[in-house]
Amino acid sequence: MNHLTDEQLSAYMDGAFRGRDAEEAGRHLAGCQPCREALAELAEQDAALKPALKHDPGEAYFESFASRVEDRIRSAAPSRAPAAGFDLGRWFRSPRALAWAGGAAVVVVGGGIALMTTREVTPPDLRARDGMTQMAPAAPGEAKTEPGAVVPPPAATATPSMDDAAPGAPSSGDLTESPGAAQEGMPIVTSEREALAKSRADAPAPSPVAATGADEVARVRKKLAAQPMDAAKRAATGQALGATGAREESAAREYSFAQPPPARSPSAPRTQEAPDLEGEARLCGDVRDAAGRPVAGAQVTLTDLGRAATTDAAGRFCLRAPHGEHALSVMAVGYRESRQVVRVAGAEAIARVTLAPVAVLDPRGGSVAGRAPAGPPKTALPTVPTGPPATQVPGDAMDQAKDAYAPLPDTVRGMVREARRLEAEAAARGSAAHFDFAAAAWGRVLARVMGGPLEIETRRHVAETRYRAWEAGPGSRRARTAIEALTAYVTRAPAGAERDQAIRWLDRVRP
Amino acid sequence: MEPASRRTQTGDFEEEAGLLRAAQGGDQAAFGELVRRYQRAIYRVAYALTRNPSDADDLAQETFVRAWQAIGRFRVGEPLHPWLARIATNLAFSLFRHRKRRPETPLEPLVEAGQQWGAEDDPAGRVEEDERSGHLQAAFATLKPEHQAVLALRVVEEMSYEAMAAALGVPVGTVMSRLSRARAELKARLAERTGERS
Repeated sequence: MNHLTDEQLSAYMDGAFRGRDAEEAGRHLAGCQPCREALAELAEQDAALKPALKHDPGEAYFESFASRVEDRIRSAAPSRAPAAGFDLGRWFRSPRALAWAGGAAVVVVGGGIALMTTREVTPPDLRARDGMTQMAPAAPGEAKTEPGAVVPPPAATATPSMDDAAPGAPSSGDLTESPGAAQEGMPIVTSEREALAKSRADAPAPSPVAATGADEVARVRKKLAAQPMDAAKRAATGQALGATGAREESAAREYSFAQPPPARSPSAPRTQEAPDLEGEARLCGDVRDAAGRPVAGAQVTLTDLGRAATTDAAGRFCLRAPHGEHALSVMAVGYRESRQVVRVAGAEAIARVTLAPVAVLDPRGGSVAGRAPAGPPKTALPTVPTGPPATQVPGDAMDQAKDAYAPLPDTVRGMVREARRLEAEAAARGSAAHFDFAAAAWGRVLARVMGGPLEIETRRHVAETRYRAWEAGPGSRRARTAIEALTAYVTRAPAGAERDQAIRWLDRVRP
Repeated sequence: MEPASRRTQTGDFEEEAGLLRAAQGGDQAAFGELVRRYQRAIYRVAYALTRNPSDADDLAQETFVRAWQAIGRFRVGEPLHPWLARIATNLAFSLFRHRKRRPETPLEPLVEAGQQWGAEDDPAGRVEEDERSGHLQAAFATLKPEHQAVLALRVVEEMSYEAMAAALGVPVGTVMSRLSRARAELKARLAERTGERS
């Protein structure tokens, strides 16, 4: 009797033989030692191969996977989506558009005395730009206003063609959108990743209208880059939120109207307001550059509360915050993000923030050739006269953590910047969906730093943004992802205040 | 049908068909649910074909992007897992074609350093396993892409021959012969590396 062939052994092992074939092979094997050995060898090889080809990136990776896919779909080719998905026009019909109208009314009413506005209130002149950006939908992560970032040169999105990538797909031409030339010879997946980064740096303008008006778009973008409140980005992000967006926008509106910024007088920051809410105080301060000049249009955010303000021409801001310690983030175009912990006590607290310029020559921080600050009038700042100064509690910890990402490859640092920007924006808007975005961005970073020294710090970011998302928009899915992320962090983090905080959050999220 | 598919599917077939129809109608939440159901399976395929977490991440994500773009053409009622696996393997083939270096070459040392990290991580007793895995990985990497693919789908995903045929776009008979050749080839390459006679 002939021995079983390799193919027969292979198929027998896989249970691919049926009926008579299987019986015959079985009978032969029963009486053939060499064939049994060959079969055992095959099985052993398979068993050894399996772990060699497997890798578990961990729960955190899969937690954010779907949102990253979503993110990529939007970034890659919004126009390819089925009719009802990722509807670019949705944003303009959403409650947000209505909220905007309400916000504009607030500006009219309070405009005479308001120094600072929350991010939800957009100057009416940006409205037209929203329309412009509708023609040229920007990727959610448009880098124009990314603080602390060196703005990369505009580049077309290159989606390398993969003719056979999707079985049953209409055609390769339909599948692959290549506004720019496909980068032949580039590693395809890598170039996809870079394309994504590029699309964030300078969103593609697939619409012919936008393409013909490229100069106009560029002009508007330039203007927007100088604007603290990037309407284009908001519009794009609003669009990108898609189905869940509308719900979150309602929440955002609720936030902005339920907690309007207190009216502030330029001459008297201590205004005759209604008595402070119990345990709440005003946190005012000023933001300056290294040369002591005020920085206008800086985004000041209490990231733990999701409250935000924009500095006025004199670099001043005021926020309302409960007594206690809060994380204060300040971001402005051309400057590195500043993060510090401030302690709010008494009726009013003062914070002074000095922003360091972005290093544009050596991204690793060797050179400090900052971009020109957005030209605010160089007026002398009236000092905020009273109130205990905000105590600066070891902001160093945060700064060190921030710098800790510096040795990473450019691609990862770009992801970190993106994640920080999204997180700050989410905090500024108090929007759950934006925190989802930020969490997804941190998840991307996490996937790249796992096993390294920054894993825990990155997990902290994932956990915090997941928690904030749940806090801003509670729901079972957000609760679950927050619990997962917090648990993943808590089980790995060293003892300390941050871990304790995460444990407290965990207690809050747990049903 | 195949164990891997069962592992990833939490709901029943009807539920999945409903999600697919909704996704075809543009419901991104439904598609998101499908992504969550199959993300692990597709990541496994992607990692097996790239042996690099960074590439696997890109490949897995891109697979779902392509799936979304082509979802309208998917015939509801067919198993989704092989369809997704087919996108993933085709993307991997494209990656092989376009990449000058072999895919086992890590893109960034940092990522490579973190490669062994994982929830299944068991530092104790890894050394011996690592050595063997290293040889196997290296030998596997020298195989032709279609041999890598068929082995990955069978060994990692435990797909049936029918599912592999769907995923690879070839007849079942071809799957059978290709898989057998791939196994024999792997054995030979491994023997070359470890100095054994095959």
